[in-house]
Amino acid sequence: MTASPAPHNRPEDIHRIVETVDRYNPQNIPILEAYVEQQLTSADYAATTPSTSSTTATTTSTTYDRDACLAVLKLYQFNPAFSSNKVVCSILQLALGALPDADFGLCLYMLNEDVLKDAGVAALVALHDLLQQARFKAFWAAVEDTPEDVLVNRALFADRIRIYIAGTLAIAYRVISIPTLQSALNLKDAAALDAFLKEHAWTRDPEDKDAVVLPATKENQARPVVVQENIKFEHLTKIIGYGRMAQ
Amino acid sequence: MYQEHYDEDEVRAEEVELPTVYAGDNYVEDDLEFNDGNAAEFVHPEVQIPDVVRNFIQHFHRNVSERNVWDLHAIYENGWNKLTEKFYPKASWPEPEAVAQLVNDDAVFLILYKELYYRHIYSKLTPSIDDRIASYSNYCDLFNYILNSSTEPSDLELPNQWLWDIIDEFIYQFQSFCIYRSKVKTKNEIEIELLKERPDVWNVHNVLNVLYSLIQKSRINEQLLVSKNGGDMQEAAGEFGSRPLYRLLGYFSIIGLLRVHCLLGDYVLALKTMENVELNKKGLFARVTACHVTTYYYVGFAYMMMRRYSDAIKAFAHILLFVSRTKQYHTRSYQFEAISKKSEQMYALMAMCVAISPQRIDENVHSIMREKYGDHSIRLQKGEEGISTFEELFNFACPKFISPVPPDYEIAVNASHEPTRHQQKVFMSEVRTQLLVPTIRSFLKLYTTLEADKLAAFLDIPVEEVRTELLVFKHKTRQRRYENGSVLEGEFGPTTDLDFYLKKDLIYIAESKQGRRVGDWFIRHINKFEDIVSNMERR
Repeated sequence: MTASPAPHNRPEDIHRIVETVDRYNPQNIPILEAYVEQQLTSADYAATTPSTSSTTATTTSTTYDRDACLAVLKLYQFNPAFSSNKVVCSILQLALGALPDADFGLCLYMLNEDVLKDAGVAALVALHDLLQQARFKAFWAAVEDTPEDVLVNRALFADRIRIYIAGTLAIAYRVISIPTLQSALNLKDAAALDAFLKEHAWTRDPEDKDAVVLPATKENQARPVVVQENIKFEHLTKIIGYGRMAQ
Repeated sequence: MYQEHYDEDEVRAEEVELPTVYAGDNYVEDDLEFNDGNAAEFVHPEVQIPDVVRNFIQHFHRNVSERNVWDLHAIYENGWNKLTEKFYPKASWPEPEAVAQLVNDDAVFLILYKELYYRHIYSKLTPSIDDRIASYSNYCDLFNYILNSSTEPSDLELPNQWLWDIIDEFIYQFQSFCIYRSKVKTKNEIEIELLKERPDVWNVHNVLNVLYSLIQKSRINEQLLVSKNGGDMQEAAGEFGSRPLYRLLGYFSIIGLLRVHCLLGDYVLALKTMENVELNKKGLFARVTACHVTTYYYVGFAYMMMRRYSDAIKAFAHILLFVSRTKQYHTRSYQFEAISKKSEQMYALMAMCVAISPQRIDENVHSIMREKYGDHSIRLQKGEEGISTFEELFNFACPKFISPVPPDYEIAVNASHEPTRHQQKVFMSEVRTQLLVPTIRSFLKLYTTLEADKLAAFLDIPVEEVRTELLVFKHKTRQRRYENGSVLEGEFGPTTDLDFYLKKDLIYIAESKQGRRVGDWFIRHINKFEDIVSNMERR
């Protein structure tokens, strides 16, 4: 599968803009901006399509369209007069949901220092830093403090981020203590936690009532491997050639 | 494998110093025309054109008109550079107006001459604003001639190396102009007026337009798809794309776009441009060494900025190995300096990537890296202390980023470093989050199981912190890695040889080891042995 590809349901007109030189045409800014907002407010925002790979943390939102978001930032970069910090915030919020992919950083590279000074943008950068440093408890506290207009559609956003956090925990833990889990996911309510566990097929440890067992994956069972060398057939063609010459 | 570099011993630039060879009819006629001409027009330069240079230009002109690519190779790579060294190390070549007299006002030749004329000014002198504008106009003329002058493709043929240099220089001058115009403080009023009057000059849209048009006209993407998936190449290439001039310019424009997008901080689009180029196979990019090196530098750099350190290391290691193996070929090339500079930068970038994401790399490349950046590498792993070393290496090794829009000319500041500072800042904040990774790794290496609180005591931080740092370790060492398909694709996987998992607060650690590698050794020695045997048989 490709790295955060466009969603399958990307509208055709958007596709035509993003994939051609039309992406440089400032007249398309309003169309793309509307498309960004639509990604964020769509009810499918937190929905995910399970990835084709076996890893648990690779789940992409069904509506998030990285390349279209970056196309907007590119238009802003070339036409600063049209730049809207509000849309930048929306894009950054979407990029947060794309973790563990590095999309957020990739968006920042396309902005400039002036945009970063915007209070909303700065708040989102701070949220990103906390997630990057796995300071989940502090992250949830910061979300509380973020103004409504910076983080929209908050409940869905929380669900989306929870998926990322769960993925990160799942690559590190086989067994995790419930207080740690609750603070990481910000699910203080026991019923909500149980619903979450059920959804992810995580189970309470039968031997330890304070712990949850995570399903074993490739990532959370570290086995020592001896990497053997691989010799490709092509590397031997010359040697095989000698044999033919000798005949 | 190192093709297209003619043997220098075979074609000597001195050839052009033998005027008798070229004193054909044309030559004499030109000469006569000259003397008959209006004296007022010739008060200046021609008088100063040394005979050798005059003959060279006429020889050059003839070979361009006759589409003699082989000789153009020698003229371009040798003759021009030798004469530059001898006559114009600190002055510009004869003015194009003066040269026009020598070549019957051949418009196409003059465009090509001006390409070299201004390129020489950029490399040896300081271009004035007039030079910058004139050079831009000349590139417009050149690309207009190639793209729009007729419904038929041009039959012009130029050496590959030159075609690459045209695209390379075009972007370089664009980059240079962006940096130049952002230094508002050091401009006088006339310069500022001129900059305001001509917003079209080196405008980012115009530059991109040229590159996209060359790609489109040459149908290079269609051609690459056919060479990848099979199909009718003739049909895919079309009338224009089947000519080397168009095919190569189109191809080099892809690499050019890769570079421009990187300079603007758009790493996704940079790699997306390379979608149809198969890096793991020897592509057209390998025909010109400078292009080969540029391709890998920017692909590697984009990977690094995308947090795909493992892919970045692979890209750098690949090209650095190539450069170190073919060193003897390019020490004599006029591109040698540029290639060594880029290599130095790539060793620095690789040292950073390896520090962030420790892994095995090719031994040859590794030992050179240790030689050059051994001290740096040690400092890079020292947590907070390493920050300044990261900054130093990044500044040295990154491309000079640009702002695509003109600055506010009313505010007298020099903002040319702003774009680079911004890229560095974002990159460093990424680096900062993983400062403890190497330290944790060094502790975990010593154990197979370890209590989190014990690790906390080693690191002198609270247990709570250890838990988060362990998660950071896991999160950061898990990166997308290229497996197949286009360069942008990749699957998540662990990149370190040291992995662990947690059962509550107990860390279970496992280290992967490399098996002994003997295959390569045997292959090398079998080959050597066969060589010896066949040598003996011949005697």
